[in-house]
Amino acid sequence: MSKRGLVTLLLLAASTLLAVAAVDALRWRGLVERDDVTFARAHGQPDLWQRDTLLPGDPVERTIGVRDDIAFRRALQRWVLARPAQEPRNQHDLALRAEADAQLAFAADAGASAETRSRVATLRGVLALEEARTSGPRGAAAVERSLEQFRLAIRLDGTNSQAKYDLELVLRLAQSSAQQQRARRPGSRPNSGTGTGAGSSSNQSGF
Amino acid sequence: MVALRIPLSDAAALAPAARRTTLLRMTLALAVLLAAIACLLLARRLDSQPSSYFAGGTSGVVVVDFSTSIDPGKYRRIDRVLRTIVRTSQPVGLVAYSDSAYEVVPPGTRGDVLRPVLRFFEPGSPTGRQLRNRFADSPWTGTFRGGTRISTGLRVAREALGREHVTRGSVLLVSDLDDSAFDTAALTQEAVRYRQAGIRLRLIPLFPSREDRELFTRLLGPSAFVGNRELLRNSRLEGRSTLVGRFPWALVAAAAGLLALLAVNERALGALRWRGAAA
Repeated sequence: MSKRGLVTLLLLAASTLLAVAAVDALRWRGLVERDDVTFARAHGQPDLWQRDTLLPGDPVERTIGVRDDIAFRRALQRWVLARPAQEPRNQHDLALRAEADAQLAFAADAGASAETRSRVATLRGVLALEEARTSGPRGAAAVERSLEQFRLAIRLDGTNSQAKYDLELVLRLAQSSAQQQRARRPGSRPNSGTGTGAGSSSNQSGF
Repeated sequence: MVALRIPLSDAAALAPAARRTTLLRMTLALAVLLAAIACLLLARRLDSQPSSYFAGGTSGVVVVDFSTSIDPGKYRRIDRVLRTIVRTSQPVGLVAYSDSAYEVVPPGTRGDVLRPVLRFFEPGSPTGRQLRNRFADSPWTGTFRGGTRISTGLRVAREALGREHVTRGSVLLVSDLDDSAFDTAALTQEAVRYRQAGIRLRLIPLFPSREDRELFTRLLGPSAFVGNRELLRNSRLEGRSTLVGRFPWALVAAAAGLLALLAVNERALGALRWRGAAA
């Protein structure tokens, strides 16, 4: 085969590949916005932010940089479906929460922006806090985890006021709980704590 | 090679044949190229390894559930898994767990070192004093065995792999997945750490309930479970044939296609030869 024929062949193969990739890319047009609206209307809708692809492995998703956004949206859907504000009734509810927490962690690792990772940390902090609320005396580790997540959220995005509010709330609750415990002990003086708000606890640095 | 140019007065009459030949050449070249790429990609995906439980070329850790919910009915499956590892002598570590966990042997130990452990999962005893279908008391009976905190076993396995600097490590969890409800959060954190550390976690379920299976499916995905067919395929391994791998049908087909295309290319587009005069 002549040199010219070989070049023609390669260009033909490349143009075919690009045409297929373009078809895959076109399928993204409006999909995220449309599915966002669907999600707002019906949280449990399956197969949101998904589409069929022609190329195996979906290289287009990586190329146009939506992978982290999609991972976050799917994790957010899991979080909403896990109903974090309600007490888990059975093993299924626990499994949903575990899945939501894991998906959020994976979404944060998928190359998301600092702002998205901050939102992820806030959501994980809320999950841990709700777990602490329903775990009774075993909830100390979950409280620690929620504090850790809220602090991480604030470090990642200083404008995340939701995380700041939540951190303040957890610190106040932790302090109040510690004071109550001290008051219950025989011979202890009531209101012996010196802190007055967020960050004043002896072992917490606040934000 | 020097091209021979023969001046022809009616060369224009050969133009359609030349175009047809060029098109045929290009089509065949494209097909050969695609077939060669397919062969290359399929060959890269071949992964024969000592049993399919662990990633090839690296050490794994088996994490075995010794909680009281593991009854002798489930021993047969544990025995099958451990026996495969012993027969293939692949480098492995062993972690036993119940409420807490400990490292029985570190990662990188030869699999046949685990042979003495097998007797605790075999019905009957070597001395014959116990009835058939009874199991010998193990060092874990009565002392170590208790509730189930799977996260403790996974944590010890992960730390062992890190300590031994095993890259691309694998962990095989053999359990009925009946985890304590108080362990769910810790288990979730451990699953996240496994993913962040790039450790492949696979599960051999010991007949779990639907609810217990659901938790692990949601956390790790259905592909993490070792199915019955894979279990059987691994357990058929003998000491003499310590590699497992599927027959590469796709690669064989692609290679056959490539050969066929090359043959067609030679037949249709080979160099012109003068035919000898008929005898």
